Amino acid sequence: MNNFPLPIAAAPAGLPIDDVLFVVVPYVVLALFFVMTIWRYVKDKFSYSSFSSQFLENQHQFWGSVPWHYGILALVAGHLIGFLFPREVLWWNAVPARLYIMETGALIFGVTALVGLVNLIIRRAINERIRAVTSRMDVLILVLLLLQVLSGLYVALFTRWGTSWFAGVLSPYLWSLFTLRPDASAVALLPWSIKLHILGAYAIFGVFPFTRLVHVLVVPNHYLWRRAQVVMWNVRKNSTGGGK
Amino acid sequence: MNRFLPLILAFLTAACGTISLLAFPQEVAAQAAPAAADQKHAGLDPYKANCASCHAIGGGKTVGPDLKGLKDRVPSRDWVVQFVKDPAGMIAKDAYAKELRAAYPMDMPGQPSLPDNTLADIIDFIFAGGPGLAQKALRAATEADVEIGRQLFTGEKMLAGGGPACVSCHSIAGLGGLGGGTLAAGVGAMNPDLTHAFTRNGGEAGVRAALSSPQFLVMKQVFADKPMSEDEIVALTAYLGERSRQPRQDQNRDYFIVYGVIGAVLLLLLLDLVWIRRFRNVRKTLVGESQ
Repeated sequence: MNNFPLPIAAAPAGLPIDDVLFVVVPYVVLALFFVMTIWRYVKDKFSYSSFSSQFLENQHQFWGSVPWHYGILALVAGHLIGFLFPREVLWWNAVPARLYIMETGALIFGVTALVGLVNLIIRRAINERIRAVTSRMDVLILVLLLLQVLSGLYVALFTRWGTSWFAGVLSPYLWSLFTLRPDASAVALLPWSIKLHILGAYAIFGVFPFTRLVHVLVVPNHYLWRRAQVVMWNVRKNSTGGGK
Repeated sequence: MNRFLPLILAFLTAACGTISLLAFPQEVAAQAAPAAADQKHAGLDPYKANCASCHAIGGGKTVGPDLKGLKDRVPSRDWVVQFVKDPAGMIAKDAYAKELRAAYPMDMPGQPSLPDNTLADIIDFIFAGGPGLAQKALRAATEADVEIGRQLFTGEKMLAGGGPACVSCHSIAGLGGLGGGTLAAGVGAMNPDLTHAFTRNGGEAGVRAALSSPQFLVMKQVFADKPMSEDEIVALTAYLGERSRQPRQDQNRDYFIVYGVIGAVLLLLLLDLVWIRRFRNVRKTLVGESQ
């Protein structure tokens, strides 16, 4: 008889677990993020970087680092715009063709970031020199980033159209956190894939100060416009004691 | 560094505790405030928030029965309490509940966590005939409303309250392009395609009531402070009514991932082109020499 079970908001909206995951966790993560990031800068300034990833070898690295960074930077910027300017995003999406362009564009950057990240992971796994300087935190952050990109792609493909509902559902939630009136009631009702993506973001923010991700804060921006440079050895390799 | 770890943990705990203390009382205060306003019935607001999208009091039956005269129809007040908290349980054991279920198109969602005093206020309100509940019928739809409704659905015309357009999470026949959203599919058993939502939701009266105070999972939260205007409700209902006469269409959704992959390949080629002079041979030699 009832071939159309309506998902009407039955009362158990907002289980305690959702309040913990989407209200308490973000505040803990934010506190951790700011305190430990500043702490590490004050106490251990020279660790503010990425360890060598053998960038002179760029046959493989090019297809990892470049797609990854362009993809992820575009996506992070997109999420930030959705958070800061939800009404403007809805205005842009008002024309269906523009919505499709925005969604497809975001998906392209997502796939590109995934290609780059997978290449970086493979390169780190098979290159002995990189394996030698890989810490446990490097492995952790790579796993977290991979999960985050995969869950993001799943959300983009199966719970469309994210650019629009982000503005309607997640932007108000994030603002509620920042204005200290946390309201996770809408987030609590979202599908597990989106919840996983949100929690993944918190996990990344949480471990940020303990990983190589801190390089984001000291990124050598001039690399973007400086001229390419050739690194040359001006001594014979036998006299350097370097190499393998 | 380890020396200071307890200090940091203490700070974090304190920060979180303070923030929680700061945050939660505001919610309680915000909920308590409207009840004190003038002399309206304490059950009016909770009734609107929880019941009005499926029930009328004196306005005729919609998705659910008209609640006018409920007091005289039900066996007891306690029966109502039990039914609201656990409709399925009551339908299983109570003959009158079973009879009601058979006469209407869908299950009533249970409200097990509605506070007892709020439920008592709501029942008082219904038994009193819904004092102060605006029974103003929405205006009749015109031909132009169908087109306006389509624009509201796709977002070409933005909802005045600031809510996201229907297409963000739903699809409907005739959209074209990559079709509508699919989020609605992820949050319940509902079909995110609204082509036949008009008939499923009890026709014009049902859809209008449902849009006036949406009870659907995420929509309830999203539209709680962004209600739709009368004109928007009338237009969207008219559009859904017109669409319900169309057959369902499969949207061209599968092209989305195809476009994404093709686009990514093109982007990778572009990156290769931009850095075409990346000193491949120079570097290769250098790396080779160093090994």
